[in-house]
Amino acid sequence: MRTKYIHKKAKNISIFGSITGLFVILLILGNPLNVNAQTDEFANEPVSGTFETGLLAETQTVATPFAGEFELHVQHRFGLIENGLEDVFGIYATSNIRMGLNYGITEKIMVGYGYTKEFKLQEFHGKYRVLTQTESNSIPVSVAVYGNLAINSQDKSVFGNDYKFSDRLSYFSQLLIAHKFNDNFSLQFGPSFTHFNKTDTLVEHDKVALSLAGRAKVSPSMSIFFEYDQPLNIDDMREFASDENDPEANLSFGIEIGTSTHVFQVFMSNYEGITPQRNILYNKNKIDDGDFLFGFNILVRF
Amino acid sequence: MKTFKIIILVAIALFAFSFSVQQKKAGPWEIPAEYKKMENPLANDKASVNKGKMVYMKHCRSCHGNTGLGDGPKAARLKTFPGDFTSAEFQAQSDGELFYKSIIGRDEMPNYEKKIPSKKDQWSVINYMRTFKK
Repeated sequence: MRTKYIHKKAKNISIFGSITGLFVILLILGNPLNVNAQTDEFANEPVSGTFETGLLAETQTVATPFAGEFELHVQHRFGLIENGLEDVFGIYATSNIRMGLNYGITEKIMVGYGYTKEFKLQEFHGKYRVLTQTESNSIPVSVAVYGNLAINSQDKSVFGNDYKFSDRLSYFSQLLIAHKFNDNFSLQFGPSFTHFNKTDTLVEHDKVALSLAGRAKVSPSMSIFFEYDQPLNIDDMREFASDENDPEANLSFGIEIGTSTHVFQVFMSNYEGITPQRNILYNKNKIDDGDFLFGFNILVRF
Repeated sequence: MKTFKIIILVAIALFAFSFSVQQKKAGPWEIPAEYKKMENPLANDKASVNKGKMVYMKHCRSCHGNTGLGDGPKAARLKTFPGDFTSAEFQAQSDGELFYKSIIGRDEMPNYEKKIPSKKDQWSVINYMRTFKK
């Protein structure tokens, strides 16, 4: 058992290492924006379009709405594709839906509310863009902090005997660091921390996770993207001896179409929870086993 | 009942007629002098044209069309014809004039200062519009 732990720990650390390493190397080596910087006039301008919108598949991005702008989000996840034609690759299976509204208070501050079907989650969230990358790379990265509070609004009987209101609460916070390499390619690295006040039996209350996401434009209005999330199931950070309830990593990939007022993302993913803390702590779908599902996000700006 | 039917028919006819009304041609623009003589700070090179194309395809294409003929999918619903960017008359305008019309806008042509916040993006779309010249 111990060997298994050590093996798993090593695996986690190596994944952690490779994700951060890759990001840093790309950041240092790939700096074509600098080469293309045309005139000093634009040198200190913030870069535009690092990501199409504040949401990319399952992760938040460094992008925020403009000041005074509303964003309506419709996020939909079908069932797992495992049953094939029986339920048309999950399309007729039970699905999860989130609807949300975000508002840009300033260019850099966003607040929002959303509700998710599974676990009747009511979610309040906010994002603050601390730094914005400039054309000359005098600021080489865009940095944002994101945080949310989700309230599980199911009947109180599901929380067990000694029910308190705080049992319903869970939190997710993330630091987002993104770099736009050129007009066609952007990457983002995001360490996150998840906390649940009350979890299922033998499920940890806290979880640190890492996310890496990237987007590449394939035409002026269409891009392909990927996202990888790795919860850190490390022994030294473990709350319980058993690793049975360890959450699984996620891989999402798909296409994105952006217009002036709408953004459409269609993708495949392992995550079905939509709300990030549910995904990070409770995901049991394995990449290796092919536990993927179809999902889409629609965003309307007004 | 008969009167009701006639009213319905008249209503349908009026509705149909309202769609057949020709789009009016855009009236003359009043462009402030500072914009008229404004110089394009961005070199008209391949990089800026490519960037401009991205911006155009995202924000402008739906009305102004893929090739700038004013025949995008949303154009038919506009009261004013969005203009033919391939015409000599259009291309004769200065970059500053095009900038004012494209970014500041008026009436049905919305203001894009917020949606295209980067100055570089704003000028690059002007450079891209120059490629429509026949």
